[in-house]
Amino acid sequence: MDTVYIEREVQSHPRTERICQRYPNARHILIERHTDVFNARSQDFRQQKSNPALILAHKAGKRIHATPPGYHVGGQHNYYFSHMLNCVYDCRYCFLQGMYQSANHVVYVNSEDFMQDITSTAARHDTDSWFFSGYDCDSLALDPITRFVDDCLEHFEQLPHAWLELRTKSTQIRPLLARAPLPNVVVAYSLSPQAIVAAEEHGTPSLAKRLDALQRLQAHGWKVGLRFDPLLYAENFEELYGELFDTVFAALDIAAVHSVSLGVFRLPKGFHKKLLRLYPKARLLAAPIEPREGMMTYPEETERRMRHFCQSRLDTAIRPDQFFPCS
Amino acid sequence: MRRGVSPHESGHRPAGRPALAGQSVRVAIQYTSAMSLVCIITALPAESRVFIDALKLRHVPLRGLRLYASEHYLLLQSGIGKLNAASATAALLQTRPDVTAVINAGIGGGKAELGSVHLAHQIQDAASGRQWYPHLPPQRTVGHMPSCSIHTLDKPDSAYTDGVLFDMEAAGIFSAASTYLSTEAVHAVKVISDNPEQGLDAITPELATQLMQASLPAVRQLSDWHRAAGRHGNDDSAIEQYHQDIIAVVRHSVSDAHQLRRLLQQHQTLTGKTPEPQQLLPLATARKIRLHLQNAVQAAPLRYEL
Ligand code: SF4
Repeated sequence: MDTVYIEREVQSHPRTERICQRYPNARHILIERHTDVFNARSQDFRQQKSNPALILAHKAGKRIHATPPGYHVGGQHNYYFSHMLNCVYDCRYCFLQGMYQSANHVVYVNSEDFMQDITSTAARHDTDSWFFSGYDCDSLALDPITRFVDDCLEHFEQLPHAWLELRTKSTQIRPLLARAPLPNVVVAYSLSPQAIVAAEEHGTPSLAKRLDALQRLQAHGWKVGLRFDPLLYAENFEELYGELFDTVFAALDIAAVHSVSLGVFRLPKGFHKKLLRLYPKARLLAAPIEPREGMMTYPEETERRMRHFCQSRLDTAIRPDQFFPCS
Repeated sequence: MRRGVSPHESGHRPAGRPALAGQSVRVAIQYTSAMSLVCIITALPAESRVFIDALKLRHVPLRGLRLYASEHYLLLQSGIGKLNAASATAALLQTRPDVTAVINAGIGGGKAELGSVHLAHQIQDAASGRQWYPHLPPQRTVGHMPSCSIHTLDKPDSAYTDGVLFDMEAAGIFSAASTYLSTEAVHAVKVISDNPEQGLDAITPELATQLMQASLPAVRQLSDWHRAAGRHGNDDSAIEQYHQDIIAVVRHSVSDAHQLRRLLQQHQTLTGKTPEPQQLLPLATARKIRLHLQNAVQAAPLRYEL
């Protein structure tokens, strides 16, 4: 990180100080509100992506949100939170590109407020509630800087009726391997065939590295989840995904996997339009994509075939109670 | 520009470039959409001279603007003050859409060493409070130049404070340029011309020109960074040209033209090339061309392979 913007309000926060110490040679720029920089008009997302700045900020207002319908792994009460905005990786299909003007990374340093809100949200329910991290970012990729995972794990250790999903493509699992596994935490990896990782998931760890991280987490006793989402169309779809499932089934203790979910590529119309502007030559956008129920996605028949193929392969290895199709 | 340089010297001409009445030199430049054209904006001749000489710029007439040009640079001399800077910048960017970046270079006052060069990380219009945050280049690309906040004043002031530079144009330039360019493409580089030790009265045009020498490497580095970043962008000039060639011959509505561009992009992505013009042009209508391209795109396999 070459430039760190610091909101005046969090200037003396211990996490701000710790993060700034990590970057003694960066430009440290004091700002009043992170939105002045992050939401400024006329930013070039694509150019910023090649040298993003770090913005340390205070998250005020609503910190915990209900997940959209269909975003769950069996729980009744589902929430997500974003302790960060944006991602170090550069997946061509990522909806974050359509969501924000800026590719800078915002880190909200007041994780204690997030934890307090998680506690009070969980307390509203008699049954278990789920909290999904990694909705507006990758949960682990910047953890060496944020150390958010440690804060989270310490907190969820005290909240047995609240579940945490850390969704990631990252191999930054040191904080997880450094402690005893928690029964109410799932580390969920997004997985794609290596040819798709190479073509569309720029900067992310290879499939082999993600599987290695999953193996180590399983061996350490952590619950893991597998997220085959988004499935991308290709003429050689069955060959690509067939091989992916074979590799995953061979590498992991599938019976012990907490949950498996499946989702086909879909984007809100506006985001799709923005993506076309940003990456007109992206392969995934050259696929037949059409508007359906307010989203841009593959034709119904294509989606049906993709889902059917994957589901039939998954059926050979997982139990029905492990499976959650994303709508 | 910094308060203290006499407006009279705005008629100053760089040595070696005598003005002949009514004469101007037109520089013929062929632009393509892939080319990066950086415009340096100064307030006064004392700030312009170093760039005109070093970058071999020549005066070009343009709607009453004081403009100099070479193949890769323009220099706009706006005159003193925020309003002059804003109106000249807007007039330029409106008439020259080929300008891809703007760098405001000039002198400014601050609590820093005389002659030191600073890159703006924030520009604030002191009168309105409006502010801009340029997206800064990596430090290694600009020689680890210190960054600062620039407060653009309407009147001279010498209440120097840490980390803040005073000038009289930057906010005007940012206000106008941000309508046309993104935050990565508008920057300000200032050289300290006065500070608590040496006040405003000591500034002369000669001193300003001398001090501005120090900003030349920074302006060049910023321009190089901008050009390098532009090269990583979408160079769609081949498709754009192809698209233009077709709609010049076959009538397309706005929506037809939009669909045509997208189909050409898909064709290029899937097949690695644009279609043969001799196959498209004889089709004679937008609809037939679209159908032909749709079939070609559908027939081209989308495969992922290692
Ligand atoms: S890892 Fe996730 S959040 Fe990051 S770019 Fe890829 S899809 Fe987006």
